Amino acid sequence: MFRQLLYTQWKWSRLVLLIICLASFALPLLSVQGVRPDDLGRFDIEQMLAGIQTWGLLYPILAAAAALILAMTTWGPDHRGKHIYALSLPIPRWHYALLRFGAGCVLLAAPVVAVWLGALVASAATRLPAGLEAYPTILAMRFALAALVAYAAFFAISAGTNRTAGIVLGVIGGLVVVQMILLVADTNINLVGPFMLQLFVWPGPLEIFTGRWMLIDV
Amino acid sequence: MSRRLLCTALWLAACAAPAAAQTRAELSQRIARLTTAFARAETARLRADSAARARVTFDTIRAGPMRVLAARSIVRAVAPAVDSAWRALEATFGLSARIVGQETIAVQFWGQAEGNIPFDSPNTINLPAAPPTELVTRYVIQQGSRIVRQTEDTQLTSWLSPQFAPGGPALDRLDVVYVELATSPRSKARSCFVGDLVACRAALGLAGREDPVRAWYDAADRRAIVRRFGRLGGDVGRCQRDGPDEACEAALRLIPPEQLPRPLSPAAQLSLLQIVLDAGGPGAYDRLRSSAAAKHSIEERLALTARVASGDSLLSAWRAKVHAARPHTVEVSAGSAWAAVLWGVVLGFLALRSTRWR
Repeated sequence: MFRQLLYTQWKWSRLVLLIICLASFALPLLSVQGVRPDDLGRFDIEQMLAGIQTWGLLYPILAAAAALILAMTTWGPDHRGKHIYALSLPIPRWHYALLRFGAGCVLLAAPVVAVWLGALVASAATRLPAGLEAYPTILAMRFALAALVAYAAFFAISAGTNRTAGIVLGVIGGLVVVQMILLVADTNINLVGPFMLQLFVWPGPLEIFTGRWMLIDV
Repeated sequence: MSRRLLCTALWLAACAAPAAAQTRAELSQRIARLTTAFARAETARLRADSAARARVTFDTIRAGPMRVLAARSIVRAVAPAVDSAWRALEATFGLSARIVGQETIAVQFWGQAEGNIPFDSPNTINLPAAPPTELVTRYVIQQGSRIVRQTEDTQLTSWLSPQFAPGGPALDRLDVVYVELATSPRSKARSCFVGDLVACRAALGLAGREDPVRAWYDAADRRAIVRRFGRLGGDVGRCQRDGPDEACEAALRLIPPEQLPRPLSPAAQLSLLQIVLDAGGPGAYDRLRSSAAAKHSIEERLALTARVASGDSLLSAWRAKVHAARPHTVEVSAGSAWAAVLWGVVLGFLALRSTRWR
């Protein structure tokens, strides 16, 4: 049954997956455009690393985008068909959701492999200045973990009812609105800051998205 | 026709005659006239500036011996910054911080009620409208540090070309020094990175100041530096055309020694000085600039200031701190990886428990 579900999910998402894979392959190549092995001064190196770091911002964004698109295409047809296909299967709901989750994870491997291959090609094709190293495998591993977390989050939201999604978004939106009101009222109360810290500082779920996403670094 | 000819002849005659002030004597006279006029204008400007200042009511803010002049409308905003700045200066420079009292610092904000006041002092700080207190503090600290630096001896100032100011980026940016040390194309910096303290001395400009061309660079460095000069003739050209190292050496000797680029940037020297002052504790800066210290080499002075046994200990400590500040690369720690996997499982589990079909 897993193979059938994987096949259907592949059919639904192959076009968009192809685009994501192309972007994933191209990103490492684009990020090393400014790298050259000449006799470089301190500011040249700083500028070069800053350029790579700027491109690096796109890795977590790409991981999140790939996860969001896959999560949406995983559940989209089920939602549109009122879950008749799923209900007709002789398996409990958790089993069905698990199969869908697994199939999505397998498809998510494609952009991860594309990032890895792109990073390997970019590293091999670039002559690095002394002291700098390429980290293609670790970068791909980090991309994979970020994509997994984002996929699981979006999958959980997509799998829930509209009410659940509404509550999640409502809580986030409400927090932002209250914070804005507090700011306008010139108070020093910071509601969003601690919340963000919980999300982005270890062991928060989004910690993997933070830090330097550098294919080339010291 | 004849009228056109006449006009042409007159025009040619006018061109052929010497123009006004073309002779040397006339030119000298004109320069003298302009110089006098400029001096008169400058005097008038100073008088006008002085009159403009006289119209404004200033308050003098005092913190220790430090005196800061500010227009009355901004005194409330400046006073806390002056207080913080003095405490920072005193904490770093110790008794030497009292030198700031020798000069008066003026602070003004853009758009202040009294308008822009023309000050004729290098100790004037012009800031944007309603700046945050931290910004005012930082600028007052920098100005105070500048006054202190003016009284440093030449050995110290020639070693450390940039101005050292407390609270500056010297320690916060050790990661930048790490990147520089790890990626510098200069042989001394690379050797220093891997632990050669003799090379560290040269890279930081602590040693080899008598003959920096040979002491700070190897042949490859010399050629690489000269290649950046642009196309020139003589020794520069010979060096650039893969000539002998002697040509590269001669080309580098065209640059005054004090202007030769050091293997490591001033940021590295600032970080060393900050580490020295931190290690030395209270009174460290006073020891650094004491007349007893001035008799020693710069390396010995720094070691005495830091109260360490030798320059080697000092450089080892500096290297250790720089290495500890290595920027975190893309690498994923085991904790981060497990946390991500765990969150993936938890969120996936939430999806399995969804009430969608109930």
